[in-house]
Amino acid sequence: MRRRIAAALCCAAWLSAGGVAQGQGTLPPGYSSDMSGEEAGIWMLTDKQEAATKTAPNLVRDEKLNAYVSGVICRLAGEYCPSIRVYILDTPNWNAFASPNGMVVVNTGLLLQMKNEAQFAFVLGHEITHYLHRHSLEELRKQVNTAGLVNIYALAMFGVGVAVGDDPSGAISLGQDLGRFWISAFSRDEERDADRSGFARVTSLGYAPNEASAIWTDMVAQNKADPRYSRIVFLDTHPSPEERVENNVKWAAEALPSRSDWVTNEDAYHAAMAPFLRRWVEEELALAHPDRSIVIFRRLAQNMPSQGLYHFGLGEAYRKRHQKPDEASAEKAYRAALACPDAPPEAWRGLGLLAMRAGESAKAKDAFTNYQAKLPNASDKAMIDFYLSQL
Amino acid sequence: MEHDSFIRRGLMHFEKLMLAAVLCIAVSGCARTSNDVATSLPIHWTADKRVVLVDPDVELSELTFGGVAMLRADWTSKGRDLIKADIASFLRGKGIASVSADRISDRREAQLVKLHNALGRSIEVNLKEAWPTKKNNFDWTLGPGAAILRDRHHADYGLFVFVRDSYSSDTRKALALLTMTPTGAMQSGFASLVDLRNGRVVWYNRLDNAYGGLRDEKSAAETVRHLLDGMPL
Amino acid sequence: MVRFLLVLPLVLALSGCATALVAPDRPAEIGNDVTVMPQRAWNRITNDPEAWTTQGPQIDLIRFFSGIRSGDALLAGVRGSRFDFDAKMLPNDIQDLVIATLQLEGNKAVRADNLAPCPFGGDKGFCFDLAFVSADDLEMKGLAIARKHDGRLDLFLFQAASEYYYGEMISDVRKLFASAQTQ
Repeated sequence: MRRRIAAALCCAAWLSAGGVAQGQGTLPPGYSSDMSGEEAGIWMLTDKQEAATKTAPNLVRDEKLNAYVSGVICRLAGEYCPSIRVYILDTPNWNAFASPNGMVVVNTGLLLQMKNEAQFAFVLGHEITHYLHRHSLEELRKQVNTAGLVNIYALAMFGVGVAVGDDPSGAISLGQDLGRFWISAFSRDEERDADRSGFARVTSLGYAPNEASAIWTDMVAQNKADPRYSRIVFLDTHPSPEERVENNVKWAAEALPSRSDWVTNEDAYHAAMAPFLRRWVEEELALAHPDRSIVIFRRLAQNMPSQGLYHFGLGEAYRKRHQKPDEASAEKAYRAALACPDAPPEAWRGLGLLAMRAGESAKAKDAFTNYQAKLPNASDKAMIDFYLSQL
Repeated sequence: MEHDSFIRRGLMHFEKLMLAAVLCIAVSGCARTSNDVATSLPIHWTADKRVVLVDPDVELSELTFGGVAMLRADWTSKGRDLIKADIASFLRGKGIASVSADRISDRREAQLVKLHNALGRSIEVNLKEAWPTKKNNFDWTLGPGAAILRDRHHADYGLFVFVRDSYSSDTRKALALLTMTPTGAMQSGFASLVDLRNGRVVWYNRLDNAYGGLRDEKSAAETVRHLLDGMPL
Repeated sequence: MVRFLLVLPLVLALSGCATALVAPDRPAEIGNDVTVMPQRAWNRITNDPEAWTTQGPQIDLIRFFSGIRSGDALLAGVRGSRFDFDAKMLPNDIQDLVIATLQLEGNKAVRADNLAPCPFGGDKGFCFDLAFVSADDLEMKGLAIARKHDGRLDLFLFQAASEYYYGEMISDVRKLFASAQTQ
């Protein structure tokens, strides 16, 4: 089943000829593929993809953000740091991946949803483990020794891979940009290996062990809230989010007593992300999966700074679900946003739109007037003027 | 799930060309090129005669026993070098200098290349059956933005080349021999010439060839000859 | 998968099937009750929804969605309420609908801006600008104009490559949209 789907999805399947070397170990530092050998083909394709990434319209070029993100990844990669090149792509899909040639891509959608540097490190730690353990090649070699099997280029790329489960129709949007999710055809063992080794690597750097399970707890909550979520069959290769919660909790219990100076680097993380959050919140909303956005923003609004922004996002998500029972929640969220110092003026607009749809003219008028007072040169001024003229 | 758009796009193109080639084989076992030349655009040079070979997109694969294509980095690297060398010497023979623009690293240039790819797809559709506005009207352009390529590389014309080539593995050849069926190995691609001063596509040639030939100098030269067949330089 | 249904009209277009000329300076009928006056010649590549192009749908495209009813999506075969039009929708909601639909088709980084009232065939319609990146990584810009008419949605959507084509065509397209007349 997996292979059938893989074959249907792949752009160039690969059955390697004989003469496969055995005993694939961990990558030596500074490794780069030579031209002969089965890895070279994958390397060449990923090089091509990297060249395309460099000129991608949604590549994030901000120096400070890149420095921060690269810095964390470099620390994770240790002696392999010089072999790694990090790219940030502006896309709301929760994803990150590492390819065999050392390219690492991080989506801004992931950055939005991580609570702190520790969580970010755990996600990237998993990816880097795939890279370092050359899981794609192991998988390739396993399959080569079985006649008639088709391997896929997806093996060349390692994706975190939960994003596909986020939203089946969002899976369509996933396949679209260079930050896209790659199906991992790794075995469950390899995924567990990446989880385990990644966890060990990240905790060895002092990152708080409890943060790992929190990532997957959040994902479970999102999936539960999403009526369109279903565990798509190719995700069978990943342990379920529930299993990952369980594993990470267990490993954290083991690791926790070993030191008392665990860090999350929450402040540094927030400071690095702050200038971009407004944009990323809008992009998350534009995904048009309000069921998930509600869970995301509710969580972020509870325990992150920039609360005005997250309450605003929550209000927008409730409003955009277009269901009567959500109206009260939307209003509550907008008003909570407006009570915060970082309230976006668009929260007033949201209140106005809510009230207008509910037929509450006075309320709508008040809200739109406030919006225009706060943002006199909004790009939709003419539309709001029109709404006001109708009220 | 799909791969990145770049690879997918390349493959979509490849698949379509392959289909055309397969049909060709089924009917007459042929090597065929089809040509469209802009009817009203003479070649003229502003400065020295110079062509920029824009990021030749070349991939050579091995068709393995299962019938699927595995990218061969060594063949690809060699094939690409041979194509570039042959094109350069072809142009030199006509007194035209050439320069290679590999690895586009500029966002705007990358957009021009992507626009060209999209134009190429439209041109191919119209080669089969022209839309009303394109009937007897080979009029395709990248727009004046192409001048960026001109300025950067000091070349009046840009040559775009796309080749996908596959070769049967030995096991597959053996099977084909036994069963008297085609091995399926094939070559497909296109070349187009763009006037970089105004972005107009001056010439476009699609290559469908079932005989392949980019792994050694002799066959590469023949491939390039087919590819550049009719180029008005 | 839904995606392939959406891609189908484009594929048909690419194969060059059944393409007709839309002549300039002659009224063209759209749907049941609208005519528009094109400034230049177009190729009509599909009838449902009516879609025109000059260089090919990945480069430039106008789509005319006519008489969309409550509960229906812009595109045929699409499931999911967030893609459906509802007669109670405000212009802001319809803007969201277009963004979601463009994303469903494989576009990314879809942004809308400058939402404003715009006349549409004698009705008070609205329009907004769009920017996005296509599935082929081509940067694109767009313009949408829409109205609610007898409880149904009429929406015209233009999109073209930012590189050269949007700029070259937008003036003609604005005139085209402005020429809409209700029969």
